[in-house]
Amino acid sequence: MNTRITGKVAGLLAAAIGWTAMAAVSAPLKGEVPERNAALAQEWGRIGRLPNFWEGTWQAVTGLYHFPAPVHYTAEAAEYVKNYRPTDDTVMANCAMPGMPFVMNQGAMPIKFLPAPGMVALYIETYAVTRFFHTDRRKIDDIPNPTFLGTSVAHWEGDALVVDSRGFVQDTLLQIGALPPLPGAQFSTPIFKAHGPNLRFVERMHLKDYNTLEISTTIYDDTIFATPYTSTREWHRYTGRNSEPQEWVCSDNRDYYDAETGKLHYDVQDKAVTTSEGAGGKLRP
Amino acid sequence: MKAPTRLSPWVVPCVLALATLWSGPTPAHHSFAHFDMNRTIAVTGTVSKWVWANPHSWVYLEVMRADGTTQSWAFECSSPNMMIRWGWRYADIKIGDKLTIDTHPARDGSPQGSVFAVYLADGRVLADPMGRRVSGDDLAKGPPPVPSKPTGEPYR
Repeated sequence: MNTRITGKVAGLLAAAIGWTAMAAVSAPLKGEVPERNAALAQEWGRIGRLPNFWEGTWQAVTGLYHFPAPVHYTAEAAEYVKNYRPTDDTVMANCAMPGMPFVMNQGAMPIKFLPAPGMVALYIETYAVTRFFHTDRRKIDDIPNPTFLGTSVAHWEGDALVVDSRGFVQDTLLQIGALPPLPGAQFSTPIFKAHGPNLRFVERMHLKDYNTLEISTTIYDDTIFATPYTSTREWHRYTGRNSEPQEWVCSDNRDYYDAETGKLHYDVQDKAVTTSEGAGGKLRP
Repeated sequence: MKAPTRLSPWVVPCVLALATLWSGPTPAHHSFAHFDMNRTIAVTGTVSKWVWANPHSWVYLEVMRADGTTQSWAFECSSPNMMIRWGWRYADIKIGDKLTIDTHPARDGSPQGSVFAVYLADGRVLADPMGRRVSGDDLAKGPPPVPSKPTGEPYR
């Protein structure tokens, strides 16, 4: 066989492989609905023209307990604030998930927006939870099933994503104010309070500039705020592998907060539960 | 032991809850009042346990004291997620490794500390944001220049 014939055979073979591959791509999959795919492609195209919340991740840069005045409390809440005595230690120990809104404020690990047709997901690396903002124009039930993150619907107003969330379990951590720094401290002390049954958040998210995300959150709780309270926080965009989202599973309570005494105890071995110390892992039998 | 005087300028003391320390956000998992963040000591020993876990990692050392006795120390680190972004890998530390840790010791004298930097046998230095006043930007960008050798007073 001379080289010219060998070349023709190779060409025919390549063409056959290419045709087979194209056929595999274009042939409908079992159960696939081409019209629906076309609609999805159109929706993805629309997402591609939205403000780019999606690239990279966002690191919180606003102080954790940022809670600027003015705050207009109900009479009951004002009395609560007046008599508030902060605990010796954080109420966030023992792997307790703070829920909304505090999980958005906590920072240290980034957040990541993930768009999809009919939804925007927001992964919060601290506590590794994901909020789902439904953009398909559904309504929130009058009495939503209570969750830590709430039920959220969202829509775009110009370049801003407006997220409306309701339906929270009683265990969510709600900061309602901040006291002046304690003697010797540089920063304020948070005031936490159990929320009322109609707690609602409306968050207005927009890009202040390409690398700065600003979220203004209005809190509605008629048991605490005489008028809805609004504050604004910022995040900075980071790209690259070092800023990719990671798993964050809170699995170890060797720093143990005793709710009875309000004290934190360090390296308490009978509370130490983790899978990463070789044969010592205690999460499984 | 007296307070060290050779702290690098990027060490910022803290005395209150972690949440109140950071200029920006923080994991705010718990207070660091347990540790004297104004003091740094350098503890050298052999790794007996290495816990890579959330919300905090821990390194345990068996430390030979100057008087010939052995003491077990526990060192608290940050979340692995933050440590990874500051250059740490789980494989950096193994049981049996000999290393030195710059640490802020417990106020009550117990053999515990919060990690400031770990000096590995191969010369690498791992910095930890544990209890520092750093912002979200600092966490994303990684550690500032780290010292090449322990800065704390040697623990004997």
